[in-house]
Amino acid sequence: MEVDKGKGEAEETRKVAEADRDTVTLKSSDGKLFEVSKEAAARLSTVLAGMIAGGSIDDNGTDLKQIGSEALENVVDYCNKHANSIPSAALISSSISFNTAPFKEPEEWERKFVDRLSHDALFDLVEAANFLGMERLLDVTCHKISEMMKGKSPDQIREVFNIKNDYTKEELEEIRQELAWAFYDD
Amino acid sequence: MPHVAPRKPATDEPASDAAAETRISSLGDDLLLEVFLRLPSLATLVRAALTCRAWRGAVASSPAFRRRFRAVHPPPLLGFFVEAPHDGHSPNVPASPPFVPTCTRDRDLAAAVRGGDCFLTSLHGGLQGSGGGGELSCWDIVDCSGGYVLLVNADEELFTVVNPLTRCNETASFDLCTNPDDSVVQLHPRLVCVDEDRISFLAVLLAHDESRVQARFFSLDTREWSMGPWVKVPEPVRSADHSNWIRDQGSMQANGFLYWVYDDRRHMVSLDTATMEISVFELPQCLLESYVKNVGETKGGATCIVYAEMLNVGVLMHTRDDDGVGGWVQDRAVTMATELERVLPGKFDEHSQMVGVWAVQDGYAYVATSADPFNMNALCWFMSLCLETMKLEKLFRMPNNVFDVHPYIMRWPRLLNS
Repeated sequence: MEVDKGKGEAEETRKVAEADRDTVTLKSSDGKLFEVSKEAAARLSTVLAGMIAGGSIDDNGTDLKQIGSEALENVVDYCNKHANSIPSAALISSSISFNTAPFKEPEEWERKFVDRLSHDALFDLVEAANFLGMERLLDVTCHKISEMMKGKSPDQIREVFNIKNDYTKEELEEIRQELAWAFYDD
Repeated sequence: MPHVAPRKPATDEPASDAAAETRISSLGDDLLLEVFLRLPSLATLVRAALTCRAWRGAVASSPAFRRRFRAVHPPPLLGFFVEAPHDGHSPNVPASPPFVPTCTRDRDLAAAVRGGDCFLTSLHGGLQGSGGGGELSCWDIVDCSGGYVLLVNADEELFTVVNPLTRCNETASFDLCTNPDDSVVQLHPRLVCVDEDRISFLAVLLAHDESRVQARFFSLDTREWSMGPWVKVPEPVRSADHSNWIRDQGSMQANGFLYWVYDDRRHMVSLDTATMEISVFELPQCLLESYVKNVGETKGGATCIVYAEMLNVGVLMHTRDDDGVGGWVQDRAVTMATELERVLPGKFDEHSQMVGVWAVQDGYAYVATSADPFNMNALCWFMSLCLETMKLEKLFRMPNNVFDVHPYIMRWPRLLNS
């Protein structure tokens, strides 16, 4: 065991020295290449951090077969923007307070970042953030989707997301009896 | 209803309807629940979860999600049922307890108040037959628990349990326990939610004679009254004009225990609703001077007593020693003078007093302050007091003479259980 561990560490040192670059190259499922700051990638994604530490980053483009180019472009864009943004005082001080959710509110630039996305791009980005272990990006994207559900009746939510009402007549009647208020629409 | 177009950000690719539908459903339950976890309140979650079978299934089939959601979102307070005195119980005056909604900008919470039946109109519809000739009945609120309300019709000695948020006629009524012995006093029942998953309730009342107490409980499932053993309790200091030596007021309930205070304020009776075991605590000296107090839970779920005396508010925490013997320890006593000056500048003087601690729930005490405490027709301010920060927030004004105020809190609906 001792020997193995020593060897692993040596290997890692060598690889890090070899790939002594500031960026890593990521390859989308459809073969497009994207460069992202190594520091930001390691800081924002547990999966990429693990790959960088484990030396499994490919200089010619690390394959991310589960992520399409549009979503990967957004991931990279987010990482780069995050690297450039100075955390606001609000973000640092927003510790879990009494009556608020323990999720940090998105910052202004994060809001703008997700606001410009189409629904599809947003859902893809949620999946990509989840796959890459990007907690903050997952938080921001899920928050955006949750905002689209706020203050709406089930009918209105169906319209927003284009979801089919697949309840049977009997089920719908039971729900409307018991939770009539939920369908209140002003 | 006007057609609300889906908010589509400017994009070159027009997403086809079929594609859009599959996209959000392709997220999978885990990610959908991550989205749901970030909704602002239970009211929003209920509306979102009812959108389609898959979404409701995702919520209902995950007890872990339910725990996480509750940990992040305290159950929402929708408003207060106020128990105010009214003239003439006989002949029947049509009446339901007034409901004061909390001010909210949350459209989903507002929908619950507006779309629910907070005026309890179902009571009058359901009982027209038994009231005789379509006469409306007069209902007083007794207790609120687990999203349900317990009411009494004093004329008919009839109790009923209703859920103000449903429109279905699921009212469960019952008669008071038969009490053949005249020397035994039965206090008002309290409502206890014994199983939130199955929405199962007990009505529990305390009966007492000269020196003993007894728990009597009615299961809304089996529809039968049962009685616990008579328990000898410490002798009260009796007042000459009162045969009732236990106060029949408030609905003190915390962590599955019900509490009643002796009229002499020296002892408190507690009842474990899981075992129906009765015990009696001696109350600390600091409560002797305090008329108004209530038991409830802090944010962290600890049982506490909040009491008020003049303009001071004190908090006692419940403790257990190594032998499991319980007791109360004073945690703090704070003057509210500065806080009152902040929320009601210039409205208070040396006569002002805290006149009520109406409820303690989820880390908040609901208190009232009056500048004219001995004038029953004067108004007092009803406020919430955050037990963490000891900050007041004013809610509404009401007469000094209200009997009780019951916070109404929305609970996890049955339809979102598996």
